[in-house]
Amino acid sequence: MNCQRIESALLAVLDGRATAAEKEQAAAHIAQCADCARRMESLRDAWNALDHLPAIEPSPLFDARLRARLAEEAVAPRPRWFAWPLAHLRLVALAAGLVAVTAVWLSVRPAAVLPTPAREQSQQDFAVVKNLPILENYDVLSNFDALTALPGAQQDASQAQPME
Amino acid sequence: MSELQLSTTAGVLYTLDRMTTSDVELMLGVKAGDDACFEALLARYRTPLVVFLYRMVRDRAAAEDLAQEAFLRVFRARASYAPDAKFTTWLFRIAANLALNWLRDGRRRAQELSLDRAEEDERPALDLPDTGATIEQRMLERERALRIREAVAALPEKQRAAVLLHKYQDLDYGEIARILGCSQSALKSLLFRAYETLRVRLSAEVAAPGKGR
Repeated sequence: MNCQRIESALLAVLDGRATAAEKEQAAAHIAQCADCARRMESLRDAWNALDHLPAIEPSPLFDARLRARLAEEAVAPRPRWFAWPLAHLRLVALAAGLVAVTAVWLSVRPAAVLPTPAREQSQQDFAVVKNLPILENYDVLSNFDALTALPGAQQDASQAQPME
Repeated sequence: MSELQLSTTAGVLYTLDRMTTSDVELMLGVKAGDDACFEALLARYRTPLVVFLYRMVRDRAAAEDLAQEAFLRVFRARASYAPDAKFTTWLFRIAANLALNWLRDGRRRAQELSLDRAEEDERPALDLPDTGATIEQRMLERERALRIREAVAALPEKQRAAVLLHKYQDLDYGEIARILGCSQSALKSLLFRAYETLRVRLSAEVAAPGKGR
């Protein structure tokens, strides 16, 4: 048996509650394990040292105080579940107000729209579709030969020449 | 020796010696409304409970207050008492929970602010019986007692409760496990770790010249 598994038996030997089997196990292990033999010896020393832990006596007024508390309780009925809310009406009102305000705020605020990859893609597609008529008009107007033949268009073209 | 009469639920009257009446019989008497039975339980467990709580919380006033609260809870629960568990298991379970809660809540932090003063207040409680020892020997004994108390107080709360119940109360592993709300194997592990810590902390102590006195 290893050192860790013998701990329970050592504890039982220490407090004097070991069964015959536990005593035998502990003795056999200690006989072949010098570390555990030393550990058992110092455990026993610590156990004996605890006999010197200071204690106190209850004060002479202990019983009188307890009787007073018992008498107090006999006069005043024990608080029931609703006694605390009744005794703390301000706190209860404050908590109820906070709950009401939170509920109203939750009901009127706009629903948060979180961007998602699918939603962004659909928004881009929608923008393209929405601009299609403009793109079509631009295409038509830029390739419309009749417009380039107009005088204004020629003048614009001649004025534009020096710029080049 | 005083005697008292116990009335069972079947209405049978027993005359019992109060000193030899079992805890369960006394508690059944409390349930039946006999204040003398409560007084007998109080006389039996007042000191062990106050000492246990004092060693847990290290504050005399708090220990007495918590012990009174434990007895109050027993008294409050008298009507629903059923003798299906050992009385001491029930009583010390109430006391251990009260002590652990007291240590966990904020009251301890406030207490630590006046720790130095408390230490001074508590020193007279360590007066040891006059055994004819010299002043030097008595001083050594006193210092030793203080170091042992410090070593126990430095244990984690649950380990401390386990050691105090195991070493000083006549309770078996099953009862201590029920008091602390853990399995027996968990309790043994808890106890062994606690004693290992004490063994290391007290090694200088037990090796000191005062050993064995």
